[in-house]
Amino acid sequence: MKYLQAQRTVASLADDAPASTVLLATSFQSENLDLYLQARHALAGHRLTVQHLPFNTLAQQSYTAASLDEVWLMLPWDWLPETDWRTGLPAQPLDLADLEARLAAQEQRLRQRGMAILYLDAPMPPVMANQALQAQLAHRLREAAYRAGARLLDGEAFELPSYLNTGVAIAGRSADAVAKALYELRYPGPKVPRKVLVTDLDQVMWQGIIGEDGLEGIQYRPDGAGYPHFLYQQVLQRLKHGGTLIAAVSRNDADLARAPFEAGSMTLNDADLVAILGSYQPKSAQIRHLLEQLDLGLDAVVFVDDNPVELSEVSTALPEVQCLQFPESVAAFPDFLARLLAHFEQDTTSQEDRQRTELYRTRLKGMAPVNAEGADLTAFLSSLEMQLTWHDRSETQRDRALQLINKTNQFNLNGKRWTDDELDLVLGQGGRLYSASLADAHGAHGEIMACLIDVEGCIRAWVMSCRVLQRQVEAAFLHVLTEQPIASETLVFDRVNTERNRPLQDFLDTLALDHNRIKRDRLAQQTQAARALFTLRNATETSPT
Amino acid sequence: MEASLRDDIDAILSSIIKLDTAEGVHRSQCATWDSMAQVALVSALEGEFDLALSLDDAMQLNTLDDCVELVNRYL
Repeated sequence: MKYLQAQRTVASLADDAPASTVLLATSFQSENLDLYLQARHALAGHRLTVQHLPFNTLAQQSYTAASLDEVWLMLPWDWLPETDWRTGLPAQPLDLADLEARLAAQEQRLRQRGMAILYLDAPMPPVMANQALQAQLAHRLREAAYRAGARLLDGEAFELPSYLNTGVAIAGRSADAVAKALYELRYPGPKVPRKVLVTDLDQVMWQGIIGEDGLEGIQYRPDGAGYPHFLYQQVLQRLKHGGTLIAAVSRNDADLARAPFEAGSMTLNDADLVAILGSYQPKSAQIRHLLEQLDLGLDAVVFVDDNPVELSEVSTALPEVQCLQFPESVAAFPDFLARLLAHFEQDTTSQEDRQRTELYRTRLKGMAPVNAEGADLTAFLSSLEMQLTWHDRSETQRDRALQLINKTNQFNLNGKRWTDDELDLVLGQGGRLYSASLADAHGAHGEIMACLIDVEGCIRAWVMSCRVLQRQVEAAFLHVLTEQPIASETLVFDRVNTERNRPLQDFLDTLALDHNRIKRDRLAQQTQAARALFTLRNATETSPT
Repeated sequence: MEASLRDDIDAILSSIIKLDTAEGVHRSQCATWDSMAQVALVSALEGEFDLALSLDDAMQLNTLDDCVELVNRYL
């Protein structure tokens, strides 16, 4: 909508049109949005008065009681004032670890306040020590916005020259687009509903991890931890009846991903979904491939996942896709459902709508998960600032490592389960039990990998939690393993291909093993690039390397 | 075409400075054409004509003629 058209739209409102007032809360001059915001409301027959905060008082506003008629338009520096172009660069590069507590507190404060937030992902000045850290900061702020319940808008609307000189952050030619997003935020319910809901499975469709907890261990019934997932499935079923295509994309073997649907005890069954894609490829690649097969545009998609890393990966690679985070707490669930349903609102449902899933299932028959590279995760992984902590569990504290070995199916060298006595025997002969913990910008993932290697240099057990697939931790771990005091110059993988360890098989196939053997120096060479993605900390040391 | 463009710009400017018309008005002699109005004018012209005006150009807008000449230059 152009300026004069907006003026005419507002002028054409009937005198008795219902009126309301909204506080447009920004830290910058945003009066140039008023007319467009009023026009968007006028199109729906509403007269709107827009109020603004006194300049530079947004931060204080977050400590006041929330008003129902309040909408926030936030920039990165509303989270971290040090990133404001107008205040200049900090004397020293910022350290994200030092900022984490502030970010978390603000996340919580805004989430509790519960107002509508639009986060404009504007470019920031170079406040970090290097580009990877700068990307990580931007990623962390997007994540914070997601956690606070914000809708994200790309940074194109931000106008740096205007912001620096006049404090107006939104360019005139983008004002209507931003006003439209604000209106949709205030009145969820896009005129053109999304057509496809792509959902994660573990911790979203059900509570638990199917690859580790098994069919009996996941929860989806209307009691306890399963309740939100039961409700979510009911919502999806309703959407499916209304003509929305439901698809699942999960980091799992395809048959594992499908099993709970085929078991017939959940609200949703196999026939309710147009596709269930179990794959270890990036989710953005899976979604792109699915939409190509459906012959639909990416702007038709809403993607739901519990993991901010996955959400960021998809929203970075596919900005057209609307990403929503499945809430961590039940308290946030009503708002999540409202925002989800707003994307699929329809007034009526036709017979064709009801049959749409069946029609598209026919089209997708035989579709396999794409094996393409998908989004290049290297830069993304660099931005995560992953830290690997190395533990030698040969002498003490081996419970978690043993538990991992005996629980993990997908990334498991051979599927063998070990008793304490069997472990004692290998260690008593000079073998070593190593494990590793992972932490990144999103927090600690705990002890996620374990490896038992005997005195001959044969790796008897090696497992990794499927929660951290796709991060190249396995390669980095092997690199560190080659640096350990192991007598043999050749490492041997006691490999058995099982029905469940496809991720492990795929990884070992990239190492060009010779009958499951490889020289240590050659393995070190092959895993060097992955190692560079991590800061390594030895659990017995205090400073990382 | 030219007349239509001028009319549109007059409609924009006059609404911002709250006059019936901006014809013959000079910024230095108009109390309602203050710095805030100047910012609003630039944003409005950008929104109407899908332009990105440079700051230097934007600050030179003192009359309706200036606005028409500038928009013509950018279009």
